[in-house]
Amino acid sequence: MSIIEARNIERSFDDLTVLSGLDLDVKQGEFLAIVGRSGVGKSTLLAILGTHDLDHGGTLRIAEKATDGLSSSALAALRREYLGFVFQDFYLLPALTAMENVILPTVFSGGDLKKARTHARDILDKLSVRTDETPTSLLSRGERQRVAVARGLVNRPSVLLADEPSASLDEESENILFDLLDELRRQQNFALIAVVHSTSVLNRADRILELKDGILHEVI
Amino acid sequence: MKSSEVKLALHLWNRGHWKDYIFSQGMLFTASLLLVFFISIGLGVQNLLDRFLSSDLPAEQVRVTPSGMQVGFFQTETGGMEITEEIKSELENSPLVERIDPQIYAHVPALLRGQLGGQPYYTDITLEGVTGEFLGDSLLEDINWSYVLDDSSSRFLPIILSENLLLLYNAGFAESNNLLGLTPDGVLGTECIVTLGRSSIADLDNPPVTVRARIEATSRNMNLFAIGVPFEFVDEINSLFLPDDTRRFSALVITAKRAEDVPEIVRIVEETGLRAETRRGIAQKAEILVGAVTAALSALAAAILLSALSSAIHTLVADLKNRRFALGVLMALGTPHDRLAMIFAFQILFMSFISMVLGAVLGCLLAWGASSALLSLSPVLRAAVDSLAVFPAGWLAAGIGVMLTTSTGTAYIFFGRILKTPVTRLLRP
Repeated sequence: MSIIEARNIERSFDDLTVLSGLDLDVKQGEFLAIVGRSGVGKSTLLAILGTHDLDHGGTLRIAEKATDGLSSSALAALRREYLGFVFQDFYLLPALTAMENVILPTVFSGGDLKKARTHARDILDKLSVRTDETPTSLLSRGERQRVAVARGLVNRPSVLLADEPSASLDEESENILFDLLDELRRQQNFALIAVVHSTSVLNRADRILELKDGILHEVI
Repeated sequence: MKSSEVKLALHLWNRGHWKDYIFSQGMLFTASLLLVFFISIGLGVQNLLDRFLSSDLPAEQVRVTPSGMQVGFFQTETGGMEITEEIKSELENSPLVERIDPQIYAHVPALLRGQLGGQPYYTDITLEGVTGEFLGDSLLEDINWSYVLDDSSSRFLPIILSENLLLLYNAGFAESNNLLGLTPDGVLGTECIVTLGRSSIADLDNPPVTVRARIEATSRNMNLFAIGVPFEFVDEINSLFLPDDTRRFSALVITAKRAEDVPEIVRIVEETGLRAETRRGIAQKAEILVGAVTAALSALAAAILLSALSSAIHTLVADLKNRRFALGVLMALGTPHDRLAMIFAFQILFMSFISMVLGAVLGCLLAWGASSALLSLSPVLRAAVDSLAVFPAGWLAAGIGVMLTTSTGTAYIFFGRILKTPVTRLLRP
């Protein structure tokens, strides 16, 4: 069963066409690596798959639900229930601690805060991120990236959309991060769609797709 | 959503932004404070003006006075039309006139003295003879409004004190001697001595006459240095000291048969060259002045309201603009819009309400404090009104309501627009 099904996705910015007739099926539990040159539209694709960017053509189904025509509240519910995000620029709230940033979506969504805290502490510990009162504005770039990953995982998503999740990490940290992602993926069976460049990470992927000329090409 | 969850959400949401938030709430607090302060003090000033400018004259009466300026013995201007017996008779014969109550000055110097708060005082005065009708029916029942010199050994001379003279006392004598200001009610029953035929600046050949007097009433319809006494007493004093003088009236109070005849009577009086005053005329003059003051105060209140409102709105909206990114993050992570709206509404509406109510309470306290301070500094004001601050609950609630709904409503609309903005745009630096 495809957890994500995208058909004929098109996206343009003024005269610039970024995606043109893109199709994609993502299965539960698979690791899909997306590669491509800078500016080719990888982040745009993730924004569309994450239902953040709605100005696109074509159809998108997440967990067999068509996103087209859904209200903003319904889309928010879809994101909350099925999707996790690791943004390229992290998008952490700088005044909050690592733990607070990770549990923030749960606090505002009215979820089980106790469970979220326990799960967050577990992930943060595994990623070697401090859970003291230090605001994330004072953390290193690598630490902030790991906090962003932890936040994306805390709600146990069906799909984790990660835009260069290890871009700021050294090789050792990158391995630790992807070891953890592999472990959690096996446990929770979530799909990982990640924009990556590192060869060692690409070796872990079930499929590698290159975004070129507005569509995805399978890389052998 | 549980209150502990709302509390935690607000705690996290405002982390690092408390200064901005407190500033925006401070703006609302200040706006509310200024609005309440100026409304209360403005209405208090209006009351004060009303008090100073109002008249006791009934609607169906016309007060006729000479065109020249003469207050009994104090003659400041002569040559105008005087009220003679002939004119009085002529007016009495008019079919529109029900009754005429004459007033007459004593053309002899006079002095009023006594003790107030253990301090002796004296002042030159003029006596004005008025009929019992001048006091109005309610007072007549309690006062024996008749007096001749033969009564001096057995009775007090009943007198009506000019409230204007009282104001002068409060502003001058009381203030310079650290005495309490006196209110119209407070002086009733005060005993004093009236000396006739002598004042601080004049003496007549006849030996002066002294009588004991008691203040039985006060009036706003008397001249500054005039003291109202029974009509026949002034007639007797004039005959005693100046037997050759002809009787001239200081004023005639004409009661019309019907209130609607008053304008016609005014026309007839003015044709004779005399002055005519009506309650309506006095009220119109007062209305113009009070209207001007009201307009100025309203303009000031409106300016305060507008500037306070625009500052409050600007601050709330600027605060929201600064949080667009944070809202975008929450929305991107799937936070339900209704929860965001609820938390935001709680924060902005409830906290703004608290700020404004606190501001209003402090505004009331400040207005009350300012009123107390001004009244303690000025016996004139103290004698005229109990308070310079008025607190009309309805108006104040309406003012606060307008500010609250306008500022938070605008902020909420802006917030709604943010919620409708695509997440990708909110996250754009």
